[in-house]
Amino acid sequence: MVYGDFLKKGFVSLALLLCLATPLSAQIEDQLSAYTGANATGYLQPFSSAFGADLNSGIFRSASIPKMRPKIRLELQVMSVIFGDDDKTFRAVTERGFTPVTYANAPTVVGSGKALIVEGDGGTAFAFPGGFDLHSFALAAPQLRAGGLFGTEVIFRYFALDVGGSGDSEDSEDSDSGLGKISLFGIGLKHSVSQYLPPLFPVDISAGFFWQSFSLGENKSGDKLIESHALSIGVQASKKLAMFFEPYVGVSYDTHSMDVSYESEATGSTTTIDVDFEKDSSMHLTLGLCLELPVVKGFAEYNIAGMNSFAFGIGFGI
Amino acid sequence: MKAAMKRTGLVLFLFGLIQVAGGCIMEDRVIELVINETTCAEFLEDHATVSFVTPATVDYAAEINEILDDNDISREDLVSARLVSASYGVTDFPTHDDWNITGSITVERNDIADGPSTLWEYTSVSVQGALGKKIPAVLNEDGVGVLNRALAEFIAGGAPVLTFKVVNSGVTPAPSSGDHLLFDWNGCIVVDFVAKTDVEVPDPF
Repeated sequence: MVYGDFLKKGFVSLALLLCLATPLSAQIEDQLSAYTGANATGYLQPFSSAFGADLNSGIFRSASIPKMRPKIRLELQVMSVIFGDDDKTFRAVTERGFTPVTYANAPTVVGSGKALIVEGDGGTAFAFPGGFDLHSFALAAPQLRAGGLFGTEVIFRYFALDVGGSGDSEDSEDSDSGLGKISLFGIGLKHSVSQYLPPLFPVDISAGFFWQSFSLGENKSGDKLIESHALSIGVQASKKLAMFFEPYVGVSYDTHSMDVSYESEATGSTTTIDVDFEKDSSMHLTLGLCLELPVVKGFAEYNIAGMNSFAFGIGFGI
Repeated sequence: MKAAMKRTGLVLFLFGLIQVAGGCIMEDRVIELVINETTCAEFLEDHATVSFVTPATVDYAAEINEILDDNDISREDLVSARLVSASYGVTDFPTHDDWNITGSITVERNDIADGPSTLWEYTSVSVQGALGKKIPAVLNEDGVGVLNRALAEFIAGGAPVLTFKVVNSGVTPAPSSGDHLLFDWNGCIVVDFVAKTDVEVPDPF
């Protein structure tokens, strides 16, 4: 009974984690609407970096792939970053005709919730919106891993949910329920390099790639509020130890891009603002440990990349 | 024994997941939103003299209430409201001849005695040249003070009513009864409202 309760609560918790980013996306548009674009990039930069770090975590893991034996696993995993002090502020500049033009260290989306107000000419003042005071940003993803054909496995991530409403504050009913849509699709391949190496080679080695597309929420025009793409190409090494334990290490090259489209009234009329973050690329080192029980699998890993992250999860299968 | 170990391991793992994910995924936060709004006063000019005064009265409390309603925010949520900038421009100019105008825009309270004070001045502005433009205004501290006090009073529960006036002192060439100075223009002010709002954000770790 206790075991069943834990399982039930565990899956409910993970299901909730899958939707973590949607309420945030609904609220972010309200904060962003005070910016016309010049500041929006700086305001959202930690969010974009965290998205990329989360998406490119927990992908490859064990390098052991059977050459010709079925392998299929359904996995659920949580990927998260912890924000540092440097992520809390950005160099912002006043807008909306405010004089004199003033630069200030304003809160980013993960920074202090308090707005920053700067004084200007003749008793005027300009306000930079507060952030959400976040310590971490986590995503969860279901993942299907199937393989064992010529030492190759295919990895899928898929999740789509419409949690009602668009986050449009002009529609109070929508706004109340207003989480919007979340959609994740990822596909990749991993191939065993070990099969081409001498049998006594001390570790398993594999190489693979993984591509993902993630969209979140809707803006007031009904378009996607946040759209993100990530790609990771890398090699992995792992070694089975002490029956169930398999430490692993991976090196990969990651890229990530994010587009944000929101409505702003900062210019005096409603305008759609598109913020395209430049494609971000970084080298990525993964250190992790798999627990390989006969049916149940677990893992935990730490990722050193442009923004460090960690991931953990559970899988079921053979 | 082996089965019991596996089961215990799984339970411990799920327990860990539940602790980090189930109990503390969503956190309450109080964050400060910035709502910036532009409010314009329209002035319709039709004069045969170089000096004239054109008033435009704005029920500022009603305007702000509408802004707050649009943003689903109550007056009690407001933390501060301050003037950011102002601009002006000609919206309609049916005659072909150009005029250069000089004067000031003043602001005063109708509900209490505050003002009139100059909000900004304009000097030798070409009516034709200002058509369709948003010309940034160099704001005067006295007029800004009247506006900011009205905003503060609204937050405190008041209902300020403001009158903006065009106080024109010069027109070149001088208009006459046969050649009226005829145009429409507006003066716009940009105000930042800072409001507190309670949100639930995902912050699991």
